[in-house]
Amino acid sequence: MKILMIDDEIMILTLFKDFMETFGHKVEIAIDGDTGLKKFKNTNFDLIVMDYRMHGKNGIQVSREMMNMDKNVKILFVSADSSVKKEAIEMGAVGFLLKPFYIDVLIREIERVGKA
Amino acid sequence: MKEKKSKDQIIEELRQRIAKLEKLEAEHKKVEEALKESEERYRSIVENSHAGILIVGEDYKFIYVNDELCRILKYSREKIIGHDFREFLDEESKQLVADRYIKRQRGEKVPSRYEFNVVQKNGEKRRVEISSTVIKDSAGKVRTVAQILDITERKKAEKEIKHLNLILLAIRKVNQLIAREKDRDRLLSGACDTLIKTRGYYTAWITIFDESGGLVTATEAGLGVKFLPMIEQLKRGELPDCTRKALNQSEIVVIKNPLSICIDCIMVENCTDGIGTMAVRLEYGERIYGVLHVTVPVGFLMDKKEQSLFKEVTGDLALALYSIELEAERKKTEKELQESEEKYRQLIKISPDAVYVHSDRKIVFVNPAMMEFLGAANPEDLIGKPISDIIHPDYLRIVEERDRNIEQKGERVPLLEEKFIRLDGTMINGEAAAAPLIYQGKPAILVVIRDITEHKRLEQQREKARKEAEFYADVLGHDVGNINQIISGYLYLLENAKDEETRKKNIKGIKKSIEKSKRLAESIKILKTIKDTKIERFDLNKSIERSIKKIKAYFDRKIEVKLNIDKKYYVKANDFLDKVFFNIFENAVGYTFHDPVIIDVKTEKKDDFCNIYIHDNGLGISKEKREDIIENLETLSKRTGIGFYLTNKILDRFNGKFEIKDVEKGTEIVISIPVIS
Repeated sequence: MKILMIDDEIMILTLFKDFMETFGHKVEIAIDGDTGLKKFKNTNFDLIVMDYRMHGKNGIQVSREMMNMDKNVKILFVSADSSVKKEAIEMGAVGFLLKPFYIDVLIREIERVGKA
Repeated sequence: MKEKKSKDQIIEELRQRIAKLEKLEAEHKKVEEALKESEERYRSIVENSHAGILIVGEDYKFIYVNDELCRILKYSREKIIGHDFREFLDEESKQLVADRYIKRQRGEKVPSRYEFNVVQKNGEKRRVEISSTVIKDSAGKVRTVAQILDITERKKAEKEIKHLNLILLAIRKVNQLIAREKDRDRLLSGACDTLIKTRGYYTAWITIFDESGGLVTATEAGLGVKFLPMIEQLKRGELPDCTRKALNQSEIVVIKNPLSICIDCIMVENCTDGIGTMAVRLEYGERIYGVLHVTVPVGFLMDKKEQSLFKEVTGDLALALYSIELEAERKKTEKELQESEEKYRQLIKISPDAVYVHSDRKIVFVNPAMMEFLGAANPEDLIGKPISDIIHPDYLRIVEERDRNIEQKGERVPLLEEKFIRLDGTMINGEAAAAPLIYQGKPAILVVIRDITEHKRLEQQREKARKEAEFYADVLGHDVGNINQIISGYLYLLENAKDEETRKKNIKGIKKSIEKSKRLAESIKILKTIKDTKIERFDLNKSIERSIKKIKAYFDRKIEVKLNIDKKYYVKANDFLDKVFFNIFENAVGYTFHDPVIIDVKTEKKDDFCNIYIHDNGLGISKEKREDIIENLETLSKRTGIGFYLTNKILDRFNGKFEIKDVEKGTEIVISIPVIS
């Protein structure tokens, strides 16, 4: 799958990118919402792994802009803030992972979304 | 020798004598007629005289009386003529009149005109005035001729006039007393005295009651200690019948014979025969103050003029009592007002709240707190100024609208947060309430301002504390969450590592995350302690060198640091300056996704500061993110992480600052720190 991961923590991005790529996924990373949106405009991604709390736009704001551009976009939310889950799901996110989670959970979630 | 008269001569002589006699007779006749006429005239005058005319012989007995004298004595002429005149006199007059009668007959000098009393047939005494003289009749006997006038009515009228004059004098004196005496008790006492001295009342006493009927005061004249039992009785609420009756009617209560009527009254001991009492209530408008009692000769009691003037006196007294009461009320109100005004003046003076009064949009009063609020040294600095000088233009319109509401509805307006302009031109926040007021006789508006600068400062502090708490919660939730996420990721990879290299790599990742966690904890600690740390002479160059060494050790990356340090700097800082450089270098490396990471460090002295320019070749910071970071430094409203916030706090402690420059590529941070020469 072609995945775009957006998170403001560079260590998470590099770790997850490496990890997901070992499972055969092609992963691009973005350090903030605006960078992510730029990449989203230029590339068709199968899945967006979206952090909620970032500098500038938060994950929900970025997701809405993406959905406006592509209503079929699949967004998997990851956040340490459980209160965001409801809003994310209502907005149309395909899944929500509460940080911290074991990294294999992310792979299983990616596979689930891919099959859906 | 005598010649012998002739017969003719004699005849002639006789004829002449006869003629003479005839002439004499004619003249005599004429005189007689004249006398008769004169007598008739005098008789008529005497008979028709309005005065009683009498002639008394030498034996005290009437010889002649005219009709008028009969009318005066109410006896017929027959019952008078021949009777001793003393029979018609009262006992008091008998001696006087007889004495003068005798003396006058003897030719001694006695007053020809005097007064005495006669007693009429019906027993009534009449006062008469006599004017008498003595004559001798043709036989040489002495006769007393007198003229008597009944002056009873005239005397009564004179007495009445005299009495009325006394009444008027009493009224005048009471009114003079009323005009000058403003003390109720002295007025009442003085009025009683005046009534006794001027009116011929035997006694006078006034009782004053309150609205519930309780005795307020009682005063008297002419009674002295005899009045004390009455005071005790009145204190017990036991009112004499006359008092009770007078209180219940506006007419005068007249008691002609207290001795037989007021038998149960203790005051009756002070009455004798011929003394009556009058009592009338002292009333003005609907207010009844009490009763004025007097004891008075019975003769005066039923006199309408007397009663009318007695009532007039009580009316004047009641009016005076009303005036005194009114004056006392006014004084009391004035005193209360003065006390209240003084109290409020003191309150306003010591009030921590700023107070000012404006009239016609101009300041007319300020309290010390208001002077302090606006930075005025004297009230004159503010008084007379238009309110637009002290109210911020943004609030002027709403303040004027509030003032119009106050003026039109006369109601106060609730608190409004406003900005005021101090005399030095700076702004100050205040919460103002306003209410209508009459100031120096003119409509005005009272404004009370609470200085909310401190309140605002505390509010800001609270808000800051709240945001800091949120910030720390966010840091814990986000940064710690991320660290845990990374550790969790490395742990999974470590568990599934198939070779030693992968295992070591993941262990290193975990260690790095733990190191990050440790630094996060340190950062939070620094944030809490930075304000209390000492500032010292600190070697800037070495701090930069130490930080470069640390960052290179921390990251397993290729990092090239290009130093362009112009000279040795000592700055006003401490060990936390290393943390500033490390954070900036960490961001530079972290947000540069490719190696080598190139970091340029340049120093430059500007004024009393050393500017350190740190530029990297990384992702750079977008304009929005830059704005968020800057905003977050003060407001903590944006979630921009702890790094820049901590950097700003440390530099703030050093009186330094940092700036994120807008550069085409990478990121450039400029740090300014005060240098020590």
